[in-house]
Amino acid sequence: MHRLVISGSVLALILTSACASPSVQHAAASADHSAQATGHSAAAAVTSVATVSAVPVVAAGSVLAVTGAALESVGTASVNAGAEVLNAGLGNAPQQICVGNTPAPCVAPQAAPNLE
Amino acid sequence: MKLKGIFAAVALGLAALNPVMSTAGSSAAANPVLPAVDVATFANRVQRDLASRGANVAIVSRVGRDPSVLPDGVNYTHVAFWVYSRITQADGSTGMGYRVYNLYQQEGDLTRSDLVQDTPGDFFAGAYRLDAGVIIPDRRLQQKLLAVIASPTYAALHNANYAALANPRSGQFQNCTEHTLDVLMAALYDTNDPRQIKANIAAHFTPQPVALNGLQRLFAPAASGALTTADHGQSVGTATFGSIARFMQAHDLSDETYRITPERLFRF
Repeated sequence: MHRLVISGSVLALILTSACASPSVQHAAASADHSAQATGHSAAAAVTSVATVSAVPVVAAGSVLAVTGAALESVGTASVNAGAEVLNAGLGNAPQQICVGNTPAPCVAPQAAPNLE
Repeated sequence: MKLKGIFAAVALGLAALNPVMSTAGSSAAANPVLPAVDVATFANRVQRDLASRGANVAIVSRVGRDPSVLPDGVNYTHVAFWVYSRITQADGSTGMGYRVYNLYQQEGDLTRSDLVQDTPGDFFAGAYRLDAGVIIPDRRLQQKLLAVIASPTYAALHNANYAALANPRSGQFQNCTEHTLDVLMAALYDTNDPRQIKANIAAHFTPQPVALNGLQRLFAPAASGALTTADHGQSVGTATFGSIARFMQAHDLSDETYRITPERLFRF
């Protein structure tokens, strides 16, 4: 029983880093490295201000500039859950495309991708 | 006695899962907390590198777990789009740089996910080590990607039902890499039809195989619903940074594919 609990706990922590938000990763790290995580949090919390807008730019030319507000260090969002992030949308799950275990497409595929 | 035997079997199965499930990312025990200043410096190194190459949109990955315990062929544990943007902060300051378009697991429920924008610094916070895989798409594809990311299609392609080893050929579950792939396909084929996207993925994209035995697949969901492989057939394959890079190179869709660390830059 003890092994079961330990194994389950380890797996649960492992899971936290797949597509994990910074705060989730920090939470996972702090489980076994609490002292280090605490130190990191304190250091991280002193920087950055919230982003209120970010507009994609279509820029021409071979060299772009990174300036001003974009030069962000590790922000408070990294340690304070959900403090700063902008949610781009909570999309609903699309309709079931291929039910069950069948990986086969339900519509005919198109030709291989080609940018020419 | 019988109950004890069941517990022992379950424990054995879960223990056997450990090496395989590391594909999900970094474990607590193997995940050092990197100094914030190093993370910030590296995040800025990556975005300056992208800017110097004129990348409006790039696909960037991070190492969330010790690569030595990841399955063969899996080097990175999180993938997202980096988009060159005009950024305004709450204090009124403005500047140019990259915003990161992520699919993240929810903190309270690892079987669910949200689409979240954050910063390059946030992207690398909590990484196992400072090491990024980068794909800069062909300039024409960047424009197509930008159009999709800025449209409702980007969110519409999100499936909040999360699985660490989601089958990219199926719409049953999704992880961050699969969402990236779905958006990529939407851009390539100029479609927002998820059925068409999955059909094209099944026809042209080769997932990264992940070796799992029957015992592992049986007991994985007992540890967490996010470890389900219910959307797979006999074999398990999932979208990874490497498999996306290979797909894009095979079809001449990328300008550059490389790995960047604080010290060096490596061509794949």
